[in-house]
Amino acid sequence: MRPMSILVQELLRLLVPFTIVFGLYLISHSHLSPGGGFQGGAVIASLFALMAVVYGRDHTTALLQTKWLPWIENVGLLMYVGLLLIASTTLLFPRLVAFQIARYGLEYGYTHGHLFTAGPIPFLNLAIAFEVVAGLSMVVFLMARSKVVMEK
Amino acid sequence: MKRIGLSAITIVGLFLLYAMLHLHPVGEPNSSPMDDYFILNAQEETGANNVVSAIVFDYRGYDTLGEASILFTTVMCITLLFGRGLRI
Repeated sequence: MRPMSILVQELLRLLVPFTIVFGLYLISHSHLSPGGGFQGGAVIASLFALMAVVYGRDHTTALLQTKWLPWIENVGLLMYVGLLLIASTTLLFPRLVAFQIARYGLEYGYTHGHLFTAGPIPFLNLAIAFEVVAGLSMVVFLMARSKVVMEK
Repeated sequence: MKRIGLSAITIVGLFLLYAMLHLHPVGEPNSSPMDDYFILNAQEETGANNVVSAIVFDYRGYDTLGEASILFTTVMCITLLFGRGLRI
């Protein structure tokens, strides 16, 4: 795709950090406010699609180093499966360190509103976010190729 | 080979048709004791304020695993169709 004019590029450059922070907020506060891994991942993936439209598809793939995207997607799904298997054994190993750390807020008297009170849910959301961002961005970049045909 | 594919699609299609004819009307189980259980007990048992996240990732976590697998398979099929080798 050909890049858009310099005015649009500069305006998007203003918007990118705030949108990424908003997406990360949706992902990390999944158990405290409406949001979650799917929603936050879709926000960040749509930002990548917007960058592909505005900056040109080849420039964006060089900027984001899209050769790592399949690996990120695999890591996301594997992390989700691994966390689910670990969480299934919590009845056998009640003092498993990772989830005790994630729930220590309850023991110290924090009411349910603190970030560290929900056990494995934030980590599951992170894994899902990896997979959604990488997967949806891959689909957009795969379908956005173009070829310049020179006419005589 | 074509016959195997055609018969597989026909069988799956008939199964889906049968399932569609036996769905409940829209909005029929209006409220069940399960809904009240979720609303009353989700915060204590999972520690999450967001009941939707607690249901999706804690009570019904295996369904989310199926969802993630479907997303992965879809992206893999699109990569096979549109990709050149393994490059993006």
